[in-house]
Amino acid sequence: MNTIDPIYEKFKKRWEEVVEIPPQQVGFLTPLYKRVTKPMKTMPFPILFILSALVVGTLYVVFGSRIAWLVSLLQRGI
Amino acid sequence: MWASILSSGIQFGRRSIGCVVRPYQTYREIRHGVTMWEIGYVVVLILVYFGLVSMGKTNAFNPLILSKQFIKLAVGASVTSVSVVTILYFLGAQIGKPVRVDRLATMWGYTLLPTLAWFVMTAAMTWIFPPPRSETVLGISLSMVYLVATLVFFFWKGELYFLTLRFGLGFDLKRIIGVSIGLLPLYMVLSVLLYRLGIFGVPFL
Repeated sequence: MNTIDPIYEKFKKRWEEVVEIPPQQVGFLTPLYKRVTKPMKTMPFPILFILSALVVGTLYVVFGSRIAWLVSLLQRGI
Repeated sequence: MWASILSSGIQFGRRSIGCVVRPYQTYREIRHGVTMWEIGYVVVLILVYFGLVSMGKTNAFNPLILSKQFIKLAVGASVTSVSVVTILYFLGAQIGKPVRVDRLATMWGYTLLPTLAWFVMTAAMTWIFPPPRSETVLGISLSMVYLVATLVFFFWKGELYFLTLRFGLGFDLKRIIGVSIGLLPLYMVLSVLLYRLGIFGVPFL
């Protein structure tokens, strides 16, 4: 009697899910793309926080204390 | 039926947490199925958001004013969401491998989570430290903290938008960038329209 292995079935289902959309290829930039997207797949917030802090730091260097005006504008937007 | 509603609620909770801790895996799961009532929870989430925004915008608890503001927001956002999902679905049908429209709408609905989180944070900060921000050390420090948090939510929303197009429409990076640039004029017109109608408070342009 043939029995279906549940682990194999689970693996097969998962495999079909993964290969349904082909992996992203961006030519010679593919290794870089994979390196950049890897931390975004699971708990992306630490990397998003670092990126945001860098952007805000740059904004402060460029605009100085005038960034307070931008914040007032955004806070009035709700 | 009640069991179905309850299980959809649990599914919605799991996937909302999944959007935070495992966004790729969560969107891949949504591609392969949504429970019957899950989209209903997404709609409730949107309604809660509009209710909170209505209270924030009118600064009053008068039911008549709140209802007017609520209806205006709900109609404006519903028209926008339906238009965007419809356009994306037809684009996907032409050049991608789209999922069923209810799954695409659910994916789009989950992109509201960062917006809701941003709204709650902004409302809390407005309540605790009312604007305008001063150009003192404390004011600038608060401004920087606020901007960092805003950008984190913005990038998170960007990621969920990317995943909607990736898993909802089966697009690759080139198509996602192309479609996003192609739809930019439409988003700009919608933003101006919604700003004129008083639905958006921030002039994005």
